[in-house]
Amino acid sequence: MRALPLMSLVLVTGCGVQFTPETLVDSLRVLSVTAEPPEVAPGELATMSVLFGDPTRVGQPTTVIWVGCEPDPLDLNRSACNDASFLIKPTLITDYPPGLKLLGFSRQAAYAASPGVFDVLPADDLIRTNGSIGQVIAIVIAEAVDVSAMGDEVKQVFQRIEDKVTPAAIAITRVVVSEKAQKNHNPQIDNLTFDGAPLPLGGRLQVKAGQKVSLGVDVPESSREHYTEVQPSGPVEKQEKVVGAWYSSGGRFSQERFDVVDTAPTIFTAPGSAEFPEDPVPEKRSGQLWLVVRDNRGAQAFQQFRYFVCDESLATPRVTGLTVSTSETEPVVVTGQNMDKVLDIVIGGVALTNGTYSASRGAFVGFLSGLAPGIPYPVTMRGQNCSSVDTGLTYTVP
Amino acid sequence: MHRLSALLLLLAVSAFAQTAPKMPTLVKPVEPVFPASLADAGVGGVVVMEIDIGVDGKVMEVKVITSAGPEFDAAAVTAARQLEFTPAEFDGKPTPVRIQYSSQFVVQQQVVEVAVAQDAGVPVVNFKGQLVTAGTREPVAIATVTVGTAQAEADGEGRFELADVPTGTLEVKVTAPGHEPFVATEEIKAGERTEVRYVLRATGDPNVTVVRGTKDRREVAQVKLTQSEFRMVAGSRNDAFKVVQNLPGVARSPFGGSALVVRGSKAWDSRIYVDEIQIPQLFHFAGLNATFNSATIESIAFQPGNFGVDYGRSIGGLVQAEVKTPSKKGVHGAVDLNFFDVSANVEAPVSDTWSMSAAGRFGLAQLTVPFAIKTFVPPAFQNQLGFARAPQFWDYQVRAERKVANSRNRVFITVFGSSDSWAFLQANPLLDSDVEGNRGAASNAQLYNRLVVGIDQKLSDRVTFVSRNSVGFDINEQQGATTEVFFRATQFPIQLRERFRIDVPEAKLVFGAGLDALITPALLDAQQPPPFKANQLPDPYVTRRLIAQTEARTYVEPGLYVDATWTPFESLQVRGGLRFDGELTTMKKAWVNPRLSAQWQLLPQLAIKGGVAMYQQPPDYRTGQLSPVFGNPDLLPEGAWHFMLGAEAKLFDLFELNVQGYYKPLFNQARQTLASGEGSDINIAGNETRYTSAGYGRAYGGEVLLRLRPTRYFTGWVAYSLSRFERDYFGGVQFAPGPLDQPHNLIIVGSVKLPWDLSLGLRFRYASGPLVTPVLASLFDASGNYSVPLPGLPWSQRLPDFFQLDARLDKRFVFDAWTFVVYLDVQNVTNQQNPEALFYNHNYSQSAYVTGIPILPTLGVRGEW
Repeated sequence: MRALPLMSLVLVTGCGVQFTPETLVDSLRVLSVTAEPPEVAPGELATMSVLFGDPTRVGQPTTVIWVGCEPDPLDLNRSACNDASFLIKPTLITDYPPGLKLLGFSRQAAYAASPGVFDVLPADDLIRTNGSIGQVIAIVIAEAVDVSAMGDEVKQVFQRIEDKVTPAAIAITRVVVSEKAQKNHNPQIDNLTFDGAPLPLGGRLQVKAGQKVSLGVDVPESSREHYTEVQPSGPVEKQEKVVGAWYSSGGRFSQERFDVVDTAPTIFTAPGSAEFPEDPVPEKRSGQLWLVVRDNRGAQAFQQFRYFVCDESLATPRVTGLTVSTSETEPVVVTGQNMDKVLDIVIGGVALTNGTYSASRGAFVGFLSGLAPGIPYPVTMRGQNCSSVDTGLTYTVP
Repeated sequence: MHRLSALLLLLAVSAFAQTAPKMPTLVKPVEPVFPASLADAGVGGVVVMEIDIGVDGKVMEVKVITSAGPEFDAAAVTAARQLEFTPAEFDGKPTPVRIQYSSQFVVQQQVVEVAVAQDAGVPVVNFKGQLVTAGTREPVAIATVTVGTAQAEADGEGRFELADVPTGTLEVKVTAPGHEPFVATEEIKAGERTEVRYVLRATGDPNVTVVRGTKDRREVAQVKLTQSEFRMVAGSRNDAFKVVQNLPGVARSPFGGSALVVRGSKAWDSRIYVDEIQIPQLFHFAGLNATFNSATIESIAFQPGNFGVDYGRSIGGLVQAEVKTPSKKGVHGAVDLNFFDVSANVEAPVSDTWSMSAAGRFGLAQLTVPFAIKTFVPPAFQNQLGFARAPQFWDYQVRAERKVANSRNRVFITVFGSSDSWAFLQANPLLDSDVEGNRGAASNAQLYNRLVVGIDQKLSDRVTFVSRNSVGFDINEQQGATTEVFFRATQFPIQLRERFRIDVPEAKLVFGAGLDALITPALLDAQQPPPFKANQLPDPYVTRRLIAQTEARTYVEPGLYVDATWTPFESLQVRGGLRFDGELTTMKKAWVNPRLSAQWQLLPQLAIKGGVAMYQQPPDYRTGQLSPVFGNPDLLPEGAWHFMLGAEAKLFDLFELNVQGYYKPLFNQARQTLASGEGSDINIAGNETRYTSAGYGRAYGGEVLLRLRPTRYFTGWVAYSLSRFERDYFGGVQFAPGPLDQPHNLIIVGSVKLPWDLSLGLRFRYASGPLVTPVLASLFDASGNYSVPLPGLPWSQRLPDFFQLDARLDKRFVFDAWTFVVYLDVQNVTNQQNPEALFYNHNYSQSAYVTGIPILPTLGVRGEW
């Protein structure tokens, strides 16, 4: 809920209004737009990436349209990308106002400010070192757009967005453009824990319906960078604040934001709890979790993974054997009993990628990568009933 | 036989006059004839009448308000119609007035021979005493004491003496207009003098002087209220300034809050004066109470427009409060305690000529609001309130005044001030906590103080001099989400008002001339991000680029005016004048405003009035609009024309009807610059400023006030405003209703005194719903992790209409020396859920109404003495 003026808060009544929690992703929505690096020199390229979710359109085409604007050399935030009256009408983008560029139509894009962006400034102008802001707009739309689209074709896409015919989510992010030597970096997410235990790489989080899980986020101290901010009173030495935010397609979180250093861990309540009757177990019992961390200068990082709401009435699968794949493109086939009740097969701490039950093979099938060859790795079966069983088998990458 | 008490019961003092009024004096008494039909009946009585006295001192109208029976009434009225008085005077001019007058009919008993004392032939006072009013201990100056056949009149101190009262147990009867009949039994002993002190109960509120006077005709759009009216209005918490919000021309303030919205204008456009000294802040936090205690207010006047040249630097409305002269009749005061505050006032004579008063208020919200939130607000919502410290406020007023009885001249010194502060001090780890002392606090503190010296001096029969000079000390501090963003202003305003009034009766002219200067030395220490221009998305990195302004600056705003009021004949008055204003140090500009108004009494019951005037004011420099760093020192003065036409009528001697229409074009309004897009100002050469003077707008509408002529038992009015206010948007590309546009506003106020010392007040309000800016879409700001609304046309969505009924019940317990009052003030009796605003979910895809106060009962107690 947006912050309200004091009096609104004091006088508001009928507090029974229940909005959709900010952490709940139930339609097309952008969660993060990162620039790598987040701060660049004039002319230097930044790679833009977008994190979005849309549980309503799993497997359907989605296009990201990237638009970038040249920084205001006077650092007055003047640009079409920063103008609400412009952004309310996406078709105006195709008028290409001064300083605006179409960057591309894919999951990633490259942005660079003009090398001469600060040429209008004296050599010792503080804006050169403090930097100005280049705005980048990511427009995620629920349709496929050909990467070679041009002219009227692009204009029609924007018209459909403006007319709300095509669902779209628009996000802005900012790339600091400066000539300073020590630039900002994106934070890192070192480790995630769930009730204190790490999740297998690529594995799904097993939760019982309504189960409360403590989410731990480990961001290294190096991600909280020290920096100098030039204020009217002079340079001020500061250390970044890194703030995290969780999102999910189901379930509820105990807090919408958290300081990665100071605050208590976030508690995730899995779908199906009595506490939140409006949050039932999803039809396929699975959902998505996203984590975004940001520093207070705009640098970002994110992770995403899936969770599974266990069905404790199911039988526990029993793994009896598995085939060894000869390459990362050849699947690992795991056989046994009740294999359609397997959630993940974890080998050496790494879950099989795209693991699923193959009815034709009567086995669980997935891909394995990233493990060193020649080492016998233990094989663990994680079942859809929240079981986790050491199979006693080992797997050695050839 | 009959007997006349030719006494003025309630002096028809106009609290509205600029100078002390002169009361009418009876010059031709006429005794009523004792009705022959009752001559032998042995009965008497008192007839209390209201008499309207014309400018020639003759009686125009007589109305019986306390009957003693048809025969006595008829005799009294017949005699009263023949009375003649000296005319009442206001501002040195004869003026019609209403007084109360009583005729007492007493049966003259047979003279009974009694034994005389040893010193026969010399009356011996053997029974004496004093009459005082219960609750206030005020002497009852007009009373008749009857003991058997002997009678005595009380003197001005309420004292009476009776001589040669027969000994024995006797019944003593006291009759006094405005008081309940009093009967006592006394034993008169031979050779002894019996002394008594009788306490009489007033029939009305003893602290309320029902005063009425004619309106100052020099102002064509003015409404005045006295204590008798503003103390009885429900929902106003006894606050005179809050009652102003119930008058035509004033829009309902959002959330019932602290803004004074006059004809749709922003708060800066209107000015508030106490004893002609401008005060910077009208209400305490959330509009709970005015910053000036109403217990010390004599009257309050409101003009939504077309005021004279003696006031300036304002393009909107005007509120003027007059502080009353402290009591010269003993020590009086009151203490009031309720859910929101505790207040007290005391006044007392110091010498024959000097008297003093003091008042103060201390807010209890820091105790009661958190308690109420914890008790009544659902826990899930409490977390979002973040109250670690609630708002707190206080104010004070001290006055010393020298005034010789029956003189218009006076000198007074007043010191008053007010403080408000509040802050969210709940730590917010998501904000920049690395700055020492920052706990994510957003705070606000406002303080003002004034020392005022006032002089009213009649220099000659023709020349009157009025002086009001003040110095002040103001602090305004605001802190943003981090301690690195702040605004601290300290000001020492000096206001000089010197005015002369020159009467030239042979030319039927009154001239006025005056100085009205405001000099404001100010210290500013501000550090903020560059103000975002209209349409710009806010930059989440608020400390990345801070700009600061630290300076000492003095705003010099001289004001000079001259005017003349011409009364070519009794029914027509024309007033015109010129006012010269300017701001000489920052804007370096001066301007001249002509103003003209007229009122014509077409019929005794009907007058028409009209006016045209020009007003200009500096842009709001308090918010930095003239700042070379945050604003634009080259802005032009904001201006407005006021065109007004109206009529006033008396209906059935019960109601006063005031109807007026107005049109008010606005020009040179300070307007936020647009960063880009259509209508952008950013391409103006050299214009990196945040404001231009290109804004324009208009206000127009009509106002109706139907007011019951106040009586001791009832007061009330119906106020309706049709008001439109429109401004330019998007750099003038679009023209649409302003944020405070409120087309319809109907207020019905009524108060009645009930038996058993109860009084009941009701207030009903209907107003058009507030305007909000619709959110058409939102944009996710991935840098700041919040959604930014993409708005449609500003203030183009109107929320549902507002309805509210308020009630107030007072119960008085009158004791000999003091009065105890218990009151219950219930706001929103019907618990109407009035939408005041919209609030949204995180991405503006869902919304709900923020509703105003629910049913809010406030129980309070007050002691008066």
